[in-house]
Amino acid sequence: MNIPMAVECQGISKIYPHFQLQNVDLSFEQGTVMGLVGPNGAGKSTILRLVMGLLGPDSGSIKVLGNSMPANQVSAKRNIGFISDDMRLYESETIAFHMDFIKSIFNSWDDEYATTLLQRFNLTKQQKVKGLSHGQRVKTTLLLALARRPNLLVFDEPTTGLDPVVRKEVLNEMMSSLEDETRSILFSSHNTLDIEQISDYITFIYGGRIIESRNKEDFLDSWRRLRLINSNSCQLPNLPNIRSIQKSGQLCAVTVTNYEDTTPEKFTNAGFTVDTVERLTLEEIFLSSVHYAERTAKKETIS
Amino acid sequence: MSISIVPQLVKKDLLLWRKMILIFGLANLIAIGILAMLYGRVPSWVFSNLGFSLLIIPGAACGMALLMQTNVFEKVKSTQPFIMSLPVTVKEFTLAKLLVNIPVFTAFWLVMISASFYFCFGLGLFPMGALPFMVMVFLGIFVAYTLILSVSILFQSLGITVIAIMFFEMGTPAYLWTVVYLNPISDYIYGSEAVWNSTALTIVTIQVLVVIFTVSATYFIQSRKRDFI
Amino acid sequence: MNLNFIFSQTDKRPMYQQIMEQITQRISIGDWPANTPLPSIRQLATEISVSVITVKRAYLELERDGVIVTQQGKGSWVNASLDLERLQREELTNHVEQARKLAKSLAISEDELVNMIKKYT
Repeated sequence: MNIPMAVECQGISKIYPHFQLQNVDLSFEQGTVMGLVGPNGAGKSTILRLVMGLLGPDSGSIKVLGNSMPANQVSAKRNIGFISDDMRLYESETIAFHMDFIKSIFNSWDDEYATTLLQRFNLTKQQKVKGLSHGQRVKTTLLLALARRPNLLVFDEPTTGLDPVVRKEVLNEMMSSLEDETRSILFSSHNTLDIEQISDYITFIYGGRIIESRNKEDFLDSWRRLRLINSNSCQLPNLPNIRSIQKSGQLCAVTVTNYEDTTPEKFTNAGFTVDTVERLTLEEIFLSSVHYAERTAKKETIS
Repeated sequence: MSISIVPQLVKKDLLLWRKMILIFGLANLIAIGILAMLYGRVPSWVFSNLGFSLLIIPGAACGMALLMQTNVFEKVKSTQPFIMSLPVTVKEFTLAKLLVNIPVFTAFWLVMISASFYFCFGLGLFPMGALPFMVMVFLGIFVAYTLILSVSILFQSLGITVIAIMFFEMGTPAYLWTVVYLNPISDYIYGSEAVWNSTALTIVTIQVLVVIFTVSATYFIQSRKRDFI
Repeated sequence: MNLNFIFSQTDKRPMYQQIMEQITQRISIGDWPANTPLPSIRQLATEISVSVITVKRAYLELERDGVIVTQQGKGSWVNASLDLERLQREELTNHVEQARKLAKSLAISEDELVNMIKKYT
């Protein structure tokens, strides 16, 4: 059985005077969660806006829920709930005003769910947007996006600046929308913990390029840090999958990707003692990937 | 095929700014009331100058305020990403903006014209010879309005729109002075009959065409925009 | 169903292993007897706000270990022919393993650790 794709981006580029998004491929099937990780200015928001049809790509193709973007953005956006960090509501109006407005546009609007969310998020319909805290504002936009029951959620930095309580509420609500297995989420965050927790697929973005994009379990499984002891002053084997080396006297920590059961052997054969083999958090993997990408980029420019 | 949400967008903007529109509408009615009371009690040159200002200011102010709020501040206050995340294209978004702004201003404009024409020609403040010129004056106001509206939609920039307002609001009297000194117009302005000669007709036609062109060009340029955030 | 899975943020093991542990524990202490149906992968994922792929992996590993049985389209349940004793032993092995790791990081020798365990027997 072929599961339809939620998002399919092929070779998309977007050129700005000071920033270039280059040759981005990004795809995931319906029912899954894709998390974008990258530092500020890496191009996460640009990708999400291209997916929403708010920007047109300079080259490449984008399909969202089967619709070509930005040409068929109207029918795609009928099924997308979008929130972004820089999105604001009408300050002088109440939450109820916004709910009525969204309801008048989407016949998929679920009144019961909207009421449940209001209670769960501890919001009052009659509150004016002006008086809301940052967390309440995020929860309101989230409510407006979720209560129309979209098939795809596109969230740009949904948890940025939220306190731990609200952050957890937001993540829980995002996950509970996935109970229906045709629903999907594409979201970005610079909080790797959020991404690690709920994503099925993870994409690393750096400097307008995708460094890596794979399923999370493979991602986490393929990276290891080996703590080695070098008592005989041996040379480290020249393995292509080594991503970073830190030395201090006889101690040596080597970070590798594409880890296999045979990897430690390669170091013992070279005369090292393998003390421990550790897994890495997503944050550590990300930092390591970014540093490696930076180094290779520099080498490329030098040669 | 999905249904266009332009009506919902128009309704949203009207609801958002209903209070402001009502206040300006009320100010307009009060202005007319004041003029009705003053008529015949002050010298006619005082009345005509005062009357002109009182009749135009509420409508012009409302038109400017509304286009600022709906076009410029939608962008400046970042409510645009919220709206653009809805099933709408830039083209429809622009259409909705035109459909909010133009009818509201047109309503004020029609009130402006009716009241002025009533005082000027109904009550005989001005001779009928001034009619073509008065038509040009009010069309001139509409031209200036559509140009400013177009700038506010195309650029969504506070600075550029303010400059456009100053430029076109000052440009309009300058242009009217030019028109009034054209012999084919000035020769008949104090006459007892309205004379629609070819100069008058040409000017009026050009004014109407500029309005139509400005609005359609705005719509056309906007519908070709690919990046809109 | 409220599962009340509790995860510790200081637990450095991968999430799928922590999920496996929570399930195995419920089975080994008898809360989930043989043939108890497990929540669907998606249900559990949304309930505990953990990605579907991670829960899927936990179920796959549990199936490989013979703890649960999964049938395509029918869901998963506790394996009826599960060797409960073996599972409990594994559970214990797990704890001992944790203790060994902790001892190592605290520079406690193996002998000392053995003596500590003896104290409780």
